[in-house]
Amino acid sequence: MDAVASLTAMDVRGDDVSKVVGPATLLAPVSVAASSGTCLVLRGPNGSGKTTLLRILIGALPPTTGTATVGDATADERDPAVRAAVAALVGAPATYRDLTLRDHLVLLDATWAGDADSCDDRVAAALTQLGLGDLGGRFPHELSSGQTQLFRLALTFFRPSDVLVLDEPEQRLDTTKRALVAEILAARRDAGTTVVLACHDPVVTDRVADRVVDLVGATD
Amino acid sequence: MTASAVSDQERLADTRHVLHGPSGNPARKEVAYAAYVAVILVGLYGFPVLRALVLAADPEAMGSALRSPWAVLVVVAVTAVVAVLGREAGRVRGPVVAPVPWVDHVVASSLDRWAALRPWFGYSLFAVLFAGGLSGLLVGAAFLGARAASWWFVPITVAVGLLVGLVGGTTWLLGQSRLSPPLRRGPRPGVSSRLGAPSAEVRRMGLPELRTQAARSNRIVGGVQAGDLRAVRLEAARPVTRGRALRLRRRGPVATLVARDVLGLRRAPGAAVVGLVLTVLGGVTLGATLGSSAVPPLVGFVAAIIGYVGFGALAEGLRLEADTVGTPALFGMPPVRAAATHLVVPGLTHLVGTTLAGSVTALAVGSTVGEVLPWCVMTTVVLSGGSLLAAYRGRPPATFSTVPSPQTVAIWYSSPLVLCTLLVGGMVWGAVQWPTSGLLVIATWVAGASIVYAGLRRVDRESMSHRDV
Repeated sequence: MDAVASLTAMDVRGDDVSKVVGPATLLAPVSVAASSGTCLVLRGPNGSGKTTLLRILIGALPPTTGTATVGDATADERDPAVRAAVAALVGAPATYRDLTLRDHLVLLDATWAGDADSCDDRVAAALTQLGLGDLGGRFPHELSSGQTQLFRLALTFFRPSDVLVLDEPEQRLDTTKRALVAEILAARRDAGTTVVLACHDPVVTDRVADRVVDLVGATD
Repeated sequence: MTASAVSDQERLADTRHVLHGPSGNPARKEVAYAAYVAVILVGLYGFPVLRALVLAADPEAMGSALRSPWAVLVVVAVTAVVAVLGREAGRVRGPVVAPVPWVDHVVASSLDRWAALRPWFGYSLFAVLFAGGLSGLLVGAAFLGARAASWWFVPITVAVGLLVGLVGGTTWLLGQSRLSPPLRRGPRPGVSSRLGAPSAEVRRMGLPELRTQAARSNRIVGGVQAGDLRAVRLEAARPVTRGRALRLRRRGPVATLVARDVLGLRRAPGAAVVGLVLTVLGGVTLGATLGSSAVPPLVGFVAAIIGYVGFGALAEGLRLEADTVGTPALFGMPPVRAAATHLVVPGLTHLVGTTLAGSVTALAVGSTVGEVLPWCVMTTVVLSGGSLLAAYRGRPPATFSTVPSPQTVAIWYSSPLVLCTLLVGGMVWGAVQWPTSGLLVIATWVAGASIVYAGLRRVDRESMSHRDV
């Protein structure tokens, strides 16, 4: 895998990163990079370390070897600047059991200081974009598994970010919704967002990937 | 017994033999051991503490109270509360919860459901009767030990305890069985049960509900063993479905978070009511303790416990915010500011409730508002800090093992409650002993500020330190 030579403001980069916990190698050393406005897709068999690599790239997990950076900063989600830049769906996000889908997005918008006047319209548009327009009044526990995945994607897409990191965004989605998500990701990429995802779906990969990295599992 | 039931018993005996060998199911021994431990704990800690409380609260007055109609009223109120709690508990985790494999492979078969589940009904029946009887014995023995009652009081309290346990057990069973629709006809030819009988209630239970509760019970037990009480809380919480038409309106970041907490309480009115009632009750207890010399100062510790639970019931927004620790950032407000903002609703509600109730009670017992008000305010400050410590306490430390010991879990999770109880109780006791002491005032303000600061530091530390290593 060739590393990108020059990094712009919100490039995501992992140089020779690996993760070893006790006797287990979760991720063999690997170098990856995605520059602004491009999409990097990670593939590989189960256990090859895709999720581990994504967690390293978003700064939720320190690598055992190598370095991970987001823009000019070391990837560490404790850094407010990294948190502000990176929207990630790696594992289930915490949702509030007493808020509806619509309420979640309104709250999210308020904490990111979005425009108050257009908030309701943007919330409605965000839900409609993913086919959740009629479900805005539901609570998270009232969704099917596919709808839950769409809601998680809606939360991740809705918050402002320069980098999108998603772990298998296609999971539990039907064919139509997978294509829809691929279109949204492509649009975000074309708008300048750095997109990194682990993905097993060839249709999504073909539509959005500028670079594909196949991870091989650790040998031990 | 019918031929079919005999056949069921034989099949169940075979199944148990396959699962557990000739020694049989060890669950009965485990239940007996739990009862043995409970007796030791009650004897070692429960009896001395309760006896000391009766002694501190004037045995003569307590003895005369036992012979008044108030005693009957207390028993009726306790029974009603136990009945309500039993029904609510049954909806989450009822008395008839077998292991998931047993539900999937045995209960799901053609065996009579009552026969397949009777052992678990038996364990729970024993548990409620034992708990009721032991509680009654504890109360009776404590009054007897404090010379507030004669020996005849003990069998009465044991009988009352058994009755309360039976009522609680009945509503516990009904809370679980009524999750399933009623059986339209006899469950099985040759198997009859009277409507309302335990066997009928157990036969009514549907497989999905039994399986859901069995799996939930597994997760709750796993959460307790691992010290992850956050998982336990989320498992036990009833799903919110109220107030769907209510909408969160976009305001500034702080105002939206405050509005979000108000909305949460409107959608969970039970928690709001419990929080308000306990807040007022805590305020009344504080006002009575501080305003009347007839009330022992030690009651201030009870007021602290009541206030802590009341504040906690109002602070679900804070706990839910704490639940987001460790997940990729979705919300934009810095963690410490968000946690502090989530104190606004429970803090203000508690402040208003406890100061009003405390002041009115003080006036009613012949004291002045000035003697009570500052301590009520300080109680809210201390409980705010305690709630931060509780919501962001994280997982218990596991120094020598990845799984913390039960003692560590108990100490870890009770520490905010114990700290708040000691601070508020000590403050009230000091205020009664030295009502004009300036040093006491300074000490309580320092203590209040310290616990809030410690809480905010904990928020910051938990938000920063969860990153895996």
